[in-house]
Amino acid sequence: MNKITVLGLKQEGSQLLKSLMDLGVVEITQEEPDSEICGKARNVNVQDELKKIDSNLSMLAKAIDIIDIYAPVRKPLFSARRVVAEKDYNEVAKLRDSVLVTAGRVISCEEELMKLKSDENRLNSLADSLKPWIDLDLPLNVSYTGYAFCHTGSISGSADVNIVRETLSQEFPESEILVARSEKDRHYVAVIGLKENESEIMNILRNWNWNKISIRDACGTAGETLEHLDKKRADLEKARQAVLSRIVELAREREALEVVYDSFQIERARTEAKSRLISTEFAFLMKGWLPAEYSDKIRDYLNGRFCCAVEIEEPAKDEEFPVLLRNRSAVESISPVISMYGVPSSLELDPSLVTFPFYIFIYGLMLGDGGYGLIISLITGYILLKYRMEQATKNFIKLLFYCGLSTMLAGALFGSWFGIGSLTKTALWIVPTEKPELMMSYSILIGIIHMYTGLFMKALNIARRSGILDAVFDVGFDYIMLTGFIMSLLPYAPGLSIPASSPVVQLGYKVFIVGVILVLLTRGRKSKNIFGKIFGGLPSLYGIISFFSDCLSYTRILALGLASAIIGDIVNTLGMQMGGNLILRYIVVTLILLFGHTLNFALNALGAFVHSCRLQFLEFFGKFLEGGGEAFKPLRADTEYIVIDTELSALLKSGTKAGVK
Amino acid sequence: MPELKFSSLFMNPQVYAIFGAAIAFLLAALGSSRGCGIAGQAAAGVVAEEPKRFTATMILQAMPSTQAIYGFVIANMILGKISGDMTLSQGLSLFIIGLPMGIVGWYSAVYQGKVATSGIHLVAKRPGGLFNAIIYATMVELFAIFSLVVSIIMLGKV
Repeated sequence: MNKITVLGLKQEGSQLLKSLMDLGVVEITQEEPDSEICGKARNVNVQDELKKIDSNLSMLAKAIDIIDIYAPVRKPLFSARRVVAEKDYNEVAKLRDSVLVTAGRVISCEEELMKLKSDENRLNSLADSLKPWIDLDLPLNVSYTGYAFCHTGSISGSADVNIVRETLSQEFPESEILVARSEKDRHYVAVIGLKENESEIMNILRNWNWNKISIRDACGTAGETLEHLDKKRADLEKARQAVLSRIVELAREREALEVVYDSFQIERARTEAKSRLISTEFAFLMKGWLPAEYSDKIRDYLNGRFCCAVEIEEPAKDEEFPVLLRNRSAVESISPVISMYGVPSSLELDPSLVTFPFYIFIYGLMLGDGGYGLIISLITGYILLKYRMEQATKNFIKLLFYCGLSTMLAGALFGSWFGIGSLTKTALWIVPTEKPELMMSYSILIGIIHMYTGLFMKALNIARRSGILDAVFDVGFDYIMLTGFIMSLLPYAPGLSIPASSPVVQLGYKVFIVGVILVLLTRGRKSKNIFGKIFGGLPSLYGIISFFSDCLSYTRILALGLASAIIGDIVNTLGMQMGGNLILRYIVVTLILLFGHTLNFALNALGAFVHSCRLQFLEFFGKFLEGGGEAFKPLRADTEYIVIDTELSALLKSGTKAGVK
Repeated sequence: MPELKFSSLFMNPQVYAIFGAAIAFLLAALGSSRGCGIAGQAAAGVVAEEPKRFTATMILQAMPSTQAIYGFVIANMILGKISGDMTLSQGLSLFIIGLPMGIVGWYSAVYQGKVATSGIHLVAKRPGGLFNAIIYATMVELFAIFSLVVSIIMLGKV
């Protein structure tokens, strides 16, 4: 990483940022003007511009979402952004305004759909309210004629309608009560009478809990109204279809919408970058980082193209800078695991190279069945060949592919292929199901090698920062102490049966004591006061305990491996026990084997992934990695749908290999 | 038919062995039922609001079911060890072998269910969090795997 400083003319600023964005290798840092020049120079205020861009973005996003719902496109399982040539991109981006209009249309289509939906709901609720009145042959919208009234309503279900009718006709012979429907708790009735008697009749009815129900929007009898509603509903449906087909029509503009969305996304990034510069009336100052190998190219390009002063320098010693991990293709596939943990600091070594082999090897041992490994590799290999995908997804799939290969290796070592018992004879190394104790010791041994590698990385980091001597004191003496510790514990290692009196163990005691003394003597050397110098080493003795528990943590290699092997074996045994006639038996056995192995595979493939991660994060990275670095975030087109193939990106590709540092 | 005395049951090695197998499966499967149960309730609540989360929540709900499988494995292996001429101490050993798998399986399944439930809430709020949620739940699983292995290693000694 190198530091870059550019001093240029303000009128060229936007164009320069655009070029840097196309190049995509420079990170622009936020700069504040010094207090001295505060009056003349300032950061450009871009809030209003950003607000406008954001409102356009949200409009386009909404339109694309709507199209996704009503005119979905089947996406392949793994998809990558479309590559668009710069020329085509510019052409579509010119049509921004008309595309925004399209987006507006899509959104208004959805609003129409919403309105139609609420209309339909209204019709439905009206139809529901009409149901009790279907048998009534009276127009529901006529409450009064010249002399008579007709009201609809309900009376209490416990009332006997005949009694009601009699009571009414005794006082008002011109009245009539008609029952539309009787339900358990109420009768739906229509009451007819003379207008002049209306209030008295209503008073009488109140004795039976009269409740007036007026049906607005009715036209004619209930039956007629329902027919009318059906017609209306059909109209609504027709309108809905029309709107839908309009959306489908507009969906053809999807690609343009996506391109314009991304063009706003790009503009947003550029505007934000602008606010990081310091500007005066005529000039601007930009500071940032770029990968060292591009330094000359960027300088030459900027000097040739713009009227500006470019200064590129290496970071000072101990200065933190953004981190860009770069590895060969195979090793890079471990990056999903590393980034889950966090970015290493710029003062540390890139852990990818050492993590990769340990990760896939331990994964293989944990899954432990070559057959399952074969399946993983076949599936992921197929995906890698068949689909084009984003780099991050590709790394992950690639990692799984290597994990599959490593699992096949483990299968060969253990003689474990789909848990088939007779194949254990082919084991090249050890059969864990037969000698679990020995395998436990091997698991711990693998752990020790793993952690020693971690300590070695720590030594390299220390040596880089403060010299070889510190590395020897801080790590070399740890090696001696821990090795002695391990040797003196050998009699307790399961499955090895080494007696305590053997010379290795006796030597171990001595090495351990020497190691402890060396650590105690040197660990406190940087402490200022005398107590610190004498007792500074005591805490590192405690490190032995944590080293011991870390060792035991590696027994999970045995545990996970054994679990998958034994469950696989049980599935096979269960399958073979099935009786019955020949054909039925084949079917049942196939089903049991398929189901059982799929389950076992899914469970343990996942378990191995997670626990292999854990061993890297806690036991391995814990030894040397401090992390806390900032990832390198260059100014570039962070788009969602398209990748623009710019002419400038070709500039960087040409001949960089020679310059890679 | 020989006379069956109740007291002779206590001296019968096969009975102890079967008891061990029963404990191994019973407790582990009980725990799995509980774990899947509480996770399932949370999952249904989330899916009611967000139907798209079905697959993610289902994966998390299924996670505590493995303890029952491990219990099943141990029960099977204990039953496979039972023979007519075994001694009382062998029978008692087979009983004890069922304990780690049964008890730890039960406990870890319940807690895995609780972690999975929290994971389901995590997925509800942040759809990209499925992997993190799975990692948390898988951590709890490890102890069930260890007890499975301990039970298996002990079986090798009887």
